[in-house]
This record gives sequence, C-alpha cells and structure tokens, in this order.
Amino acid sequence: MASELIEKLEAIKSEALKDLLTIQSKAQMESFRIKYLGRKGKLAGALKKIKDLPAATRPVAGRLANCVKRDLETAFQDKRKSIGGSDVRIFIDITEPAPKISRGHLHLVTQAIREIERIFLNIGFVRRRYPEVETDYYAFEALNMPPDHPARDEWETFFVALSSKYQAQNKEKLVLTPHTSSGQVREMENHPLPIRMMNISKCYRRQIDINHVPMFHQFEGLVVDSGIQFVHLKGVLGYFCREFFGFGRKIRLRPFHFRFTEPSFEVDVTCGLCKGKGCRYCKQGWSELGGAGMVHPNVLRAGGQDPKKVTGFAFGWGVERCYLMKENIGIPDLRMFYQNDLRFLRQF
Amino acid sequence: MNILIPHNWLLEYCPTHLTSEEITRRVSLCGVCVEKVEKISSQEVVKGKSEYVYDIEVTSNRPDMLSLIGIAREIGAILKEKLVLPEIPPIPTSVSSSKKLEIEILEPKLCPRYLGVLLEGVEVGPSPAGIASRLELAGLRPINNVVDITNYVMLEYGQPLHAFDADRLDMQNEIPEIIIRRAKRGEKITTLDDQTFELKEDMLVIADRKSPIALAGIKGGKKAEVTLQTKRIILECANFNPLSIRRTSRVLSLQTDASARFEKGLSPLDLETPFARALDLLQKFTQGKISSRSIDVYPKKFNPKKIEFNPTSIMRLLGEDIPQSRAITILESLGFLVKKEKSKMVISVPSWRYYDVEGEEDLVEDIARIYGYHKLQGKLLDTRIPEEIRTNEFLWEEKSKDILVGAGFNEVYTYSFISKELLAKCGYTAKDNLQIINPLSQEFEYLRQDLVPSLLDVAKENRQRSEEIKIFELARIYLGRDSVLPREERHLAGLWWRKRGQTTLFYQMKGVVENLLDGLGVHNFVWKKGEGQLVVNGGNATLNIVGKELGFLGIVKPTFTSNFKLKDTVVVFDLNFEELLKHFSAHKTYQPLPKYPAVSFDLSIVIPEETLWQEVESKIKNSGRKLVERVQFLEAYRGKQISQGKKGLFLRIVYRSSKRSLKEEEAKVVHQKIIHSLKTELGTIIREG
Repeated sequence: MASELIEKLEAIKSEALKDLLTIQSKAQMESFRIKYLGRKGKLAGALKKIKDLPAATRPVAGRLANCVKRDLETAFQDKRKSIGGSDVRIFIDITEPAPKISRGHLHLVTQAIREIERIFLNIGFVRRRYPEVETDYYAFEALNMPPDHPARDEWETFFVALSSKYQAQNKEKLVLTPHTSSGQVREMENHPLPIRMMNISKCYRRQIDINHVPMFHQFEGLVVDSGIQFVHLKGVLGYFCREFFGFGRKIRLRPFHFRFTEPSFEVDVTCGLCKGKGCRYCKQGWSELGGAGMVHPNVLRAGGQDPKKVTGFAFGWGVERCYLMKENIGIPDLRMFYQNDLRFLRQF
Repeated sequence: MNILIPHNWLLEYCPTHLTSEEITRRVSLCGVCVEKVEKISSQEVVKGKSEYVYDIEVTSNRPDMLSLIGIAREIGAILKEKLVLPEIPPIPTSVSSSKKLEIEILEPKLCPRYLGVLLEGVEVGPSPAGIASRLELAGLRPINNVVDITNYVMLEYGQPLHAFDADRLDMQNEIPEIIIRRAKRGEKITTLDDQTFELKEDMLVIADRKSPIALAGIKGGKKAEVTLQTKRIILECANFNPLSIRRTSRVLSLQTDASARFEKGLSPLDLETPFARALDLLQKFTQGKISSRSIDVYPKKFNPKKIEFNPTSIMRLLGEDIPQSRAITILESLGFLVKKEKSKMVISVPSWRYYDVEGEEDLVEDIARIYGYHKLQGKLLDTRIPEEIRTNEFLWEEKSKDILVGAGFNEVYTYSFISKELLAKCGYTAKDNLQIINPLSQEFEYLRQDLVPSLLDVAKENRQRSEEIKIFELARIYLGRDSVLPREERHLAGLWWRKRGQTTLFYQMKGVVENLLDGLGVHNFVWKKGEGQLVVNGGNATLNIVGKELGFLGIVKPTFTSNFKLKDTVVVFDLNFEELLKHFSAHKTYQPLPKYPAVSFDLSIVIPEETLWQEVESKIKNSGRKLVERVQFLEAYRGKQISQGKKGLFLRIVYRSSKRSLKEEEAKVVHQKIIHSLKTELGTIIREG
C-alpha cells in the first residue's frame, strides 16, 4: 500500500514537472494549477489516501507527500515569474505625434568649422585669431603685393574709413580682410618657430550673387620652419581632403599663381554632383577648392625670417565652399547661409 | 584673364599629333589651365579639319601667355615638342636717310621704349581670309588689313601694336612727329569707339605736335584712325609702364586687350621681333612700303635678367630630387639660357618673363610644374611640433554654443555690416560706427557695435512663420577709434520671442543665461538693476562680475520691437564674451556629500511687490545662520487673494547640520525665528501653508 502510494507521488511529481516545461501562457498555468495543485487536483487526491495507510508507514509517506507538494509549488512559482505578471493589455497609438522637444541647431558654418578644425588639430596645428579690420600692410603689402599691383584686383576689397584723427596723418589704409592670409606675417612676428597654425575667420569681398556673399569664412594654414617642403604641403592637404571628403573623392594640384606663394597651385576635388564626369557646376569634373603654395621669400622676409634658412607653406580655402562640395547638400544659393531663415537653419 | 586659342593655329607653332582632348588633359595639370574646349561648327572650319578653340585661364603674372606663341611654348615644354617660330625677314635698313618721321619720348619712365616706322602706299581693305578667320576664332572682330595685322601680331606674340594714319597728324614741314608725353590739363581725346575722355595730367598719351592721337597702351584716337582712305601709316611697337597703364585704365574705366597686357608688365626687351613680324605682314598684305628709317627710341637700355641658381634648391623646396638634366631641359624648353658654373648655374631669364621671374623659387616652380606636381609624393609633417597646445578660447566658444543649442536656441550668422536704417530702428545713430568707404549698398555701410539689432532683424524676417523664435550669435563687434585698428570684441547675444509672450519670458531667459554661466564655471556673478539703450525702463538686469559690468539681460522697448513688427515681449541678452572668458573655469573640486539628512519646511508669504527676492533670501539666511542650507524659490503669485501692490511668494527652506542629524523640533525653532524676523523686519504676512 505504502510503496504504491509513494510510487504514485513520484509519478505525479515527474509528470507535473514535465508538463510545466511545456507551459507558455497564463491560462495554461491556471489549468496546471487546477490539475496538480488544486483542491481536487492529483496531489490532493493522493494526499487523501495517506490517512488510509497503516500508522507505521504514514509518517514516511506524509513527509514525502509534503516534499513533493513543496517542490511542485516552488517550481510552479518560478515558472509563474518567468511567464510574467498579469495579462493586462493596454493600447498606445504609437503613430501619434510626440510633443516636440525644443532642440536648437548650430549654424552650418559652425558645424563646418568644427569639422575642419578637428582635422588640423589632429596633425598638430594651433588655432589663432587675427584682426578682421586690418591695415593694408598686413592684408597686401607684406604678402608681396605692393600698392597698385594688379594681383590686388583678384580681391574685391572693402576699405574702411580711418577715424578723423588718423585721416589727417594719412598713414595707413584700412581694409576688411579679403582673406585669412593677412594673419601670416602677424603670426611670424608674434610667435617663435616652429609655426604650425590655422586661422579660421570671417573674410569680406565686394561681391554678392548666388555664388558670392560679402562676408564668408576661410581657413588658413601656415607652417614655417627649417626643412618644410612642397611634399609636406601636398601631404597635409591630401590628409585633410581624405578626412574631410572621404576616400571616394580625388584631388589634383593645378599650378596657379599667387603673389604670396611660390611655387603655387590650386587644389581641385572631383565634383561630388557628377562624380567627376563633368557637369554645369564644375570644370570638366573638377571643382576648385582653393589655393596653396610655398611661402614666398618676400613674405618670409616680411615676417622677419631668412628665406635661405627657413621655408614654409600656406593655404587658405573657403569654409562654405568646401562644405558645399563635401556634402552635396544641394544649397542652390550661397546667400542662404546668411539670410537666417529659421526653416533653413533647422534643417541642419 | 582668359585667352582663346584656336587649335589649328596653335599647331603651327607646336606641331603635335595629339588630339585636342589629349592636349587638354596633359597640359592642364602643368600650368596651362584649359577651362573649356569648344568645337567650332563647320562653316568656320579651316582646310576641312575640325577646329577647336581652347579657353585658357592665364594668371596675372604671365602676360606672355596671353599669346599663341606663349601658350605654344608652354605646351611644347610639357609635351616635349619643339617650338616652331614664324620666319621673319630682317627689317630693311637701306631706306633713304631723309627725315620722314620723328619720335620723341618726354616721359622715359612711363615709356621706356618706342619703335616706329613710316609705311607708304598702303592699300587699306579687308584682310586675307586666313587672318580674319583666325582673329574671329580668337574672339576679335576683323576691321581692316592694317588693324587686323597689328591684332594678329598681338595674338601671336602678346605685344600690342598700333597703326596711325600719318596724314591725319598735325605736322610741320610735312614730317609727322610722334611725341610721348603726359596729358595737359583739360586735354581731351576721342577714342576709336567715339568715346570722349577728359584727361588728367598723370595720364600718358601719344600725341602729334598739337593733340593726343592715342591713350598710350590703351586705345587709339579717332584723330589718326586708319580708314579705307589711309595711304601712309606709322606703325607703333612700344613699351609702357604697367602701373601707369593700370591707373589710367582704372580711372577712365577703359579696359582693352592692349591695356590688359601692358598692365601686367611686358618687357621692353626684344620689341624688334613683333615689330619686324608686323612689318613683314603689312608689306605682304597691304602693299605698304617702308619709307622711313625704323626708329627705336630707347633712352635707358634694359638688361636681360640673370639669376644664380643652386640646383640643391630643388630638393630644399620640393623635398623630391628631380634629376638635374631634366631640370635643365625644362628650363631650356621654356626659353631660359642655362650656364653651368661649378656647383651653381647662371640662368638668363627670357625677355617675356622679365617681370615675372625674380628668384630661385620661380625657377623651382617652373621645373616642378612642368615635371608634374602629381608626380611628387606627399608626406605628413615630420618636423618640429609647436610647443603650445590648443588655446582654450575656442573650446569655450564651442561649449557656450552647445549649451545654448541644448536650451533650444538656434545659432545665426548675420553680417558684420549694419545700415543706418537698422541702427535707427534701435535708436542709434551711426556716428561711432566704422564706415565702409566702398560699400556694396546702404545695407552694408557700417560695421556694427552691437549684435542685438541684427538679431531683431532676424526675428522680424522669421516672425510670420514662427510661433516662437529663440536665436543667438557669437561674433565680433568693432569698437573704438582711439587707435588705427578698431578693438574687435567678441560678444554673445541671444533673443527670445514668443507669440503672446509675457514678462515671465524674462525669467525664462534669465534661466538660460544662468545655465550658460554655470556650464562655463562662472559662479561669482551678481545681477543688478540697470539701464540700457535697447531695454525698457525697469526691465533690465546687468551682469556684474567683480564690480565689472559684462553684459545685460532685458525686455526690449516696445517702440523698438514695433519697429521690427514684433508684437509681445522680446527678451534679449548680450554678453561681452571677451571679458567673460577671463572668468570661465573648467576647474572642479570635490565637495563632501552630506552625511546627515536635511529637514525642510515650505513657507508661503505675502510681501510688497517691490521687495526683491534677494532681500527675502538674505534675511532668511541671516536669521537662520548656519543651519539654513538653502532657500529655494518655488513660485511667485499675484491674483484675487493677494491685495493690490503685493505679491505672494512660495518658498522652501532647507535646514541641515554638517555635524549631526538635525531634529525636526530643532529646525522648527529656527524656522519660527525666521518667520518672526520676516514679519517684523520686512513687513511680511505669513500665509499658512
């Protein structure tokens, strides 16, 4: 009798544990509970029979029965936790518009400047600031462009009136810097070698149309030391272009002339719109990025350096221009950068 | 400046079998920048071959390349083809020695050299087809054989020439005289295109005995124009000072093919070649006969330039060793004469590069570009690194912008310029602003001294399509006239406008600014009541740090906001970023975390409207002493239950001891003491809360 009951209890236990493994829902849990642990369940049925056993065997069977009951209940509770709490359902319209969290936007120019700055920081350039209102000397003369030199025509320069006090002396002409290069000689005057600087700043030219704005930004690089060579310039610009434009775009150096560098060249990048095939936005597949070259001996001299001992290179490119070529963001009119239509600014 | 080069004409000087496409590809990276190649339609095609015209950009230092031969020489050097020059018979010398022409230079500095000759029996008529069609392809209009030949030679050699009708000159004893002099005061000239100019005394003219017959190096005059009736001509081949040509051309707004070349600097050396070439063509195609001695007035001879060249400079500047033999070949193909002297070379610069080539660097550039920049291997800098690291000021700029963007503000970039009109809208005059001498328009006439007007203008432009505008800008303003250069000071300004916005916007903006200052590590600031040009009386707070005013925050005067068509409250701030920078700090120190719990009580009080929170706070702190950890503002309210002229304040006082657990009873005692002093000393009514 007793052994029979013990066997039965063991059987119930193993059957129940097997069942429990297959359970996947709350409803199945409930039927499991009723089937095994309920008042009329299998375990209860077996327990009832204990009292019919001989007194001597009753304690053994009773202990076993309690053990089985405890094990099954523990297993049942564990399973219940893994299946989860109640079966409550809620409804959320996940397509309903969320409240707008007011997020501001950095201006496109700031974003571009940060990107450019970071690339040059990585190769050891120090960033500087120089005046935007500058004397003719630093903007032109010190850069190997004597007064009335035709090369000055390339810059549509704004002139600034001197205060009456200085007008009388008629000493200096003031300009709004038409390029960041006006910082070159100041840098050499104010800092010991080696120089490895960048100057990212506002520039001004008397032009306004879809490709020109009277105020724009340039980034300038100037490196001066003994042993600076053309191949360094080529390497630095190549590095910049790779970081800025990515591997897919090619650059070329096209010989050009600037008064303040010798040798000089302009850098072109394959047009991002036509992928170098040639379109109406580029010159036979190439878009012009900007000029560069080895610092002219006269500029080195103006900066107090001996061109026999020291060499250098410089470049100055348009921030907006480079950014437009990078991203193909399709801004049709450069003036939009400075119209500050919030609908425009919020797109970036 | 660009020049048009017809392909088949080019081949005459630089014979090559390459197609125009291949030529374009190969020369563009070596200094002959072909911007476009145009295929010419059949009617203009010469000799059945297809014709192309190259549109080439020529840099300002290379007027010699504004010519067929100049371009052919460059292309030849790149393609390693030999240059073929026109054969020119020598100028005949066996002409009757009787005086038939006189030339006098009165301004040798402005006109270093003048070649002239008289031709008789000239038959003026249309040019031969070959010459006319070439001129047209190169963008010049054929006029008559005499004029066309001078233009043809200009296109070939880059040297402008001119022809005068000798019989239309005012003469004495029938001998034409050419005088190169400055214009006289009030003198006038009518040019070939029927424009009349009044001349200034610094302008150089070609004149006969009586009056100017040409603006030297710029344009011929009507007086001695070559016409179909012309029988005798004087041919001019001269050199003029580039600056003088440039100034005159600018002042008169008269730019011509001749002036564009002269102003870039042509050499007085070797004028004989184009002169002889023109004479040869004139004799062939106009039947003209040389009838005077060819006169060459050349008061001060120019010597060809010589440059000492150390071949190691190639390596020094480029970082790559181009073989010396290759370097010499390149220089020679460009017309330089190379003479080796021990370790050095002495290089004679060709006449057409007289103004352009100044030193070794120029030679290295020529060698490098013909060799090919693309063949040089780039490398990263392997030289010394500057000692300094990144300057913090740019980090602070970044951080400031990021904080404001995080607060929902949009960054704008407005022009540094400001107009009188915009200034007036903010009650300013332009008297202190720096003025642009040559502005693009009135909109861009002055440099600004304040960013806020520009921000108001941005708000105005955006108001109709916005419910709310939150903008800021970090830019320089231009101050002071007490030194030659103005003081450029960075300012950070912001604007907040909202439809139906109330004065509460002031507090919200204050929160934005304080959050900004907190993020920049500025804690020692005090807001003070202030006055300002732009802000409404009473609605202004100035930011003060160690006794210095470094900015303000306030509500814009309604008269000004309505100037910008903005209804409702507009709050602005303007911070002197330059000065503020000195107080930014990234330094942080550890503060021990409180060990014991705090006890706090809320308090609702009613005080006179004009009692400042600052007074309430300091009163509480003073009477609560050390146990008051902080006084927290919860809300200010006005309304029915508060009588007129008063306001309700809801606040929380947090008590804590750093030495032990504070008992509630203990805190209550202090709290009561505070309530008492608020009542007696500030006339506060306590509302039970």
